[in-house]
Amino acid sequence: MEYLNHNLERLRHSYPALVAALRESRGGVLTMASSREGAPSATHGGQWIHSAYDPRKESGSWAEQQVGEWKTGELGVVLGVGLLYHVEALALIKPPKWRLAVVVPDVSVLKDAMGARPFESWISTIQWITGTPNEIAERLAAQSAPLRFFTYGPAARLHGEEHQQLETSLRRMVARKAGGQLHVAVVGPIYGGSLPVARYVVRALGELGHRVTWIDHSVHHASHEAFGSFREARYRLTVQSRFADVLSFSTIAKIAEDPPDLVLAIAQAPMTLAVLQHLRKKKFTTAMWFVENYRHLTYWRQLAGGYDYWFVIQQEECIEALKRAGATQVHYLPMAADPAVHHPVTLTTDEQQEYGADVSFVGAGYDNRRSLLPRWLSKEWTFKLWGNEWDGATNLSSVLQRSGARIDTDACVRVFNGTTVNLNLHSSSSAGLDAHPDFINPRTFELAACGAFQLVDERTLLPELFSSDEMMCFHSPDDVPSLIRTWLKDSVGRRDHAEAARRRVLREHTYRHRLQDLLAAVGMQQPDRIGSILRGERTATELKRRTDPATELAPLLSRFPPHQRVELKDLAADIRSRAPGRELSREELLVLMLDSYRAETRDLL
Amino acid sequence: MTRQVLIINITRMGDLIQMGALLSRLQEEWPGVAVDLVVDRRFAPVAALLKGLRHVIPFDFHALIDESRAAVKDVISLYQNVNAWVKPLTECRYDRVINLTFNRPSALLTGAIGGQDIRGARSAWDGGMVVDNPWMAYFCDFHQFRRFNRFNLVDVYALGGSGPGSFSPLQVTIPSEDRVWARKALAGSSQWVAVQAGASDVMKAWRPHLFGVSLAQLSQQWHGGLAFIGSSEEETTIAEVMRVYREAGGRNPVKNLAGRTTLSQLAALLAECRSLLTNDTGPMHIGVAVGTSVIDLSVGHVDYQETGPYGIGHWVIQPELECAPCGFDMVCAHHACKDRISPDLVADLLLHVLKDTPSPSQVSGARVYMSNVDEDGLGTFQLKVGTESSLTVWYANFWRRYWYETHTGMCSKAPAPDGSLPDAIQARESIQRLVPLLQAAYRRAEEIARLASREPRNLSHVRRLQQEQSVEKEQLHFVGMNSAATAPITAAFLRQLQSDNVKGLDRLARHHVGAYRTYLSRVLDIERRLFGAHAHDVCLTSDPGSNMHQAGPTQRVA
Repeated sequence: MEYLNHNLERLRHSYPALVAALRESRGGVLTMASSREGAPSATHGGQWIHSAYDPRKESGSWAEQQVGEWKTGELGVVLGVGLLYHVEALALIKPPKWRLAVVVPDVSVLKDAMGARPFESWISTIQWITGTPNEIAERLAAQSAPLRFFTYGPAARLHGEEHQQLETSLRRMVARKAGGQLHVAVVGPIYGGSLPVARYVVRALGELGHRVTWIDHSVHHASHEAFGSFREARYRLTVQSRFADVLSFSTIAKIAEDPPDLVLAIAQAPMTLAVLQHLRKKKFTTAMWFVENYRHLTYWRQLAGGYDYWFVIQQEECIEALKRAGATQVHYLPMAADPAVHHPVTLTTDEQQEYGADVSFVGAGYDNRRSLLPRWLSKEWTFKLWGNEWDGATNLSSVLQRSGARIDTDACVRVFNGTTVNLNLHSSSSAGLDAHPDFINPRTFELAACGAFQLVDERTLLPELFSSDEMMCFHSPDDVPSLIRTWLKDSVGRRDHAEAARRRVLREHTYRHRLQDLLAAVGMQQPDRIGSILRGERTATELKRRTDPATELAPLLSRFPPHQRVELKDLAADIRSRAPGRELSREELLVLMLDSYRAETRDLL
Repeated sequence: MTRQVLIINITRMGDLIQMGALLSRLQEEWPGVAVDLVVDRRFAPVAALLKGLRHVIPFDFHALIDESRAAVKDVISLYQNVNAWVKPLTECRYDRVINLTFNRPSALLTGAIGGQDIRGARSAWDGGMVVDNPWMAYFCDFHQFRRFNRFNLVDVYALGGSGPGSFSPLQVTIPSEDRVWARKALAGSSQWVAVQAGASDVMKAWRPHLFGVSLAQLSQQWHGGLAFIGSSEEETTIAEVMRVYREAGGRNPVKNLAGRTTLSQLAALLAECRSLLTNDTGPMHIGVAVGTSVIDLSVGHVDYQETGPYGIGHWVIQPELECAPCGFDMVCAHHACKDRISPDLVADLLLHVLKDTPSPSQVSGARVYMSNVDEDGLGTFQLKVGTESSLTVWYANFWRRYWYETHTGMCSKAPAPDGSLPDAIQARESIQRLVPLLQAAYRRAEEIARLASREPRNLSHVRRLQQEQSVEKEQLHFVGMNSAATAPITAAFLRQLQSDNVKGLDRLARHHVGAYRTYLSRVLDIERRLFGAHAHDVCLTSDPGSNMHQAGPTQRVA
């Protein structure tokens, strides 16, 4: 009680509300234990929050590791409260004017810390941020300084869920405020389901005002197919693997010609680990949007440590698996729809004849679909099955359209719009429903974006994306026939659900939303780089603010429109365009020198 | 007052060791001179081995490339960082700045630092790149007549950065504790051969399996130890050498020290070895600097005449192939030159060095040279086995003497080329074709200069003449570069034209007149040397067109 009063007294003037909350709090979340060195330490759930030997020394090492990343002008934000050893260590080694904040999701933990040991004056310099995750996010988003997060793992573990919510909220808030233009190189796959996603991503980034270089490997599809024609599997795999290596190097060549701020690969992009490591060594930021079921396609294991950022469509288990495999930053980013592609369409009579049906399913012939779809055929409704890989599904041959040919996106949109009840069954290699029903497939969002009514198998991640007023789920295969029967009769209900789902997609689930989120997540991790560009801190005006107006670069920057992003290459190009016959200043020569180094590429390829 | 010199030498380990003669020469020129060195941070440990430096000023140029290219930092941060680093160098007011890194960024850096006497690439007043000093200009040009070059970079650096002087071997300082370490590391055998099988560029690395076969053959007659050196990135190469070596019956004691030494330990290690078998790499020059007998496998785009081991008693094996050595930016699909060097030859040469067996006397597909110091105190290579084109040998000797005398103003003591000019008819035709073209071009340059200095200027007339001059220049280039008798001076002429760090049309025109005048007087002089009485015995120091005497009296050509 003595320590508590002593510490609270230090906070009384600056944080009266926090002090009051601490007094009312019951505390007792942490279990106190003495470390071998004698200083108090703590455990939670049997796990040590600070070192059992020497908490001060351990925190000092942690702080030393963190402070190297911290840049002038950034607000340091600590996640994880514990007994504040780590906060104290960071507060004591940081430069005096740098500001440090601590996120406090639960004041009870802070009370435990306040009662455990006495704190010196550093404690009154800390900015304490309390509240719900959303409130904390709002407070952090309102800060004028860039944020640099420091996570003290053992203590942060207590509030992992709150921190996740905080990050999601903050990402969205930051994304809404972002105005700067990035240059993103999108690396697409050679073929497959992620290819259209790459196209949607490219369009969304462009619509958000970013400059996009699309490294489209689908142009090499014919060669890849040709290499797949060898009868011997070993030959086929060897040649195709070498071909992927070549494409990976061609990606580097493309990047060398026009270096981006971010290399964003979409699942199946032919990028080897060696190339990713090389890009990291050369300071390029890389991200992968893994729009795959991590349980089915497991190449992420080899690449986990290669990308700086992973974005995945599944949560806990997937994120943990990637981290165990070596990924450092893994974020949940569900699929979405592109309303420019998937939108309501009024079909002509002929089109309705061709694409329309009471019930339809579009997709490939996975095992569960082969076993379940026949059970949902009925004389009560017309049924059309679209898609490929249905060979041998004789019990579905009567409803299979176009002899099982793959249909293009335009045809898909017409089927979705021409169908009364669209079935959406997530794929699985077992006979029944997906045994791990977590992620949401793109079709869910695309059907919704088309304003089409769908029945979708229940998914654990669906409720946070669509409400029951927007999306109708089935729990069991046996429920489907009766649901079809019910909804075929209820045109008003169908329309209400479909329109609500479309509104939700337009409001929250487009690729623009996803890319805003993705960039904000990267920006939050790199406040001095991607973050700073997104905040518009590299515009001519902002840069001019930071340079001596009388000398140096201010006169050169004045030549650019105020809101234009200006990088070294832009400044050099402007100098060069005016150089012939003009004597250059020392500043201009230095800029040209820097730009000559920038233009070096021999180390890249 | 103590003179101050700044050397900018950023890119390679070998280049740093190779400026050893320059450091000695500067001390000869200005006793007590304070020499500072700008170097990439990665090579600062190499610089620490050199004698005669006051300060080593490292900068992380690789980080600068990475951070500027990927826009890690904004332009303000990049500028402020580099400005804070450059400013003190400018304030030092060096008496001489020697830029030994011949690329555009370092030229701009040199221009930004400034200095009373800049030698090497620098930025011009309008941001263009110019080269000050005739030896440094020669360095930039000799790739255009590479087979006739007989100047080692060590000498070019010393002559350009300072001037002519006595021969000075490459040297490095080895701390005594590293000598002790090296002796311990090499315990187990009384004699060692160091092997550098890797290289920073795969183009200039002999094939690993051929190293293995050679060493295995050596093993049959010599039982000392083999110490593999290099960087940790060369582990795979070394593993391949070792595999082949063992499979071919190699039984000598072996130590793999690649990636396990500091640079000063490497120097100490090489000093303990009898010989170093190596590709043309930084460690090769360290080997030379510590006095170990080097066998240099000169493959890919490497030309031993430029970067081979400097001084007395080293060996070079050069493949004999039409395309060897190839261009600097060549990406070769076959690396056929590497197969021209037989493992037998390498083993025989090693045995000659180690056991004093007779040196190889017959060889096909390659030539063997021994390094030496010539009569002018410059590094040279003497052909020991194999044949060379008589035309190449004749012109190489001729140009070696010509440039030495032209740029130093001193008579060369090196012997004149043996025999008569091998392509006398073609050379005479070429010069006879060139002279009238050049005389016309010179007259036009004078006409442009006269018009440019007149007020008011008739700019349209000047431009018309300049366009005609441009066409003439192309013709001169074509004719001049087409003959061994004129190619080197044609390249020098084009370089001089480009090095136009002057403001104003009239000055530019006068600069061009000077370049044409020098070129013409050189062509006439070459004609006299090749076809006059006592042709190639004549010392050329009176050459009126010498770059060293550009400001002096010039030959008037009607």
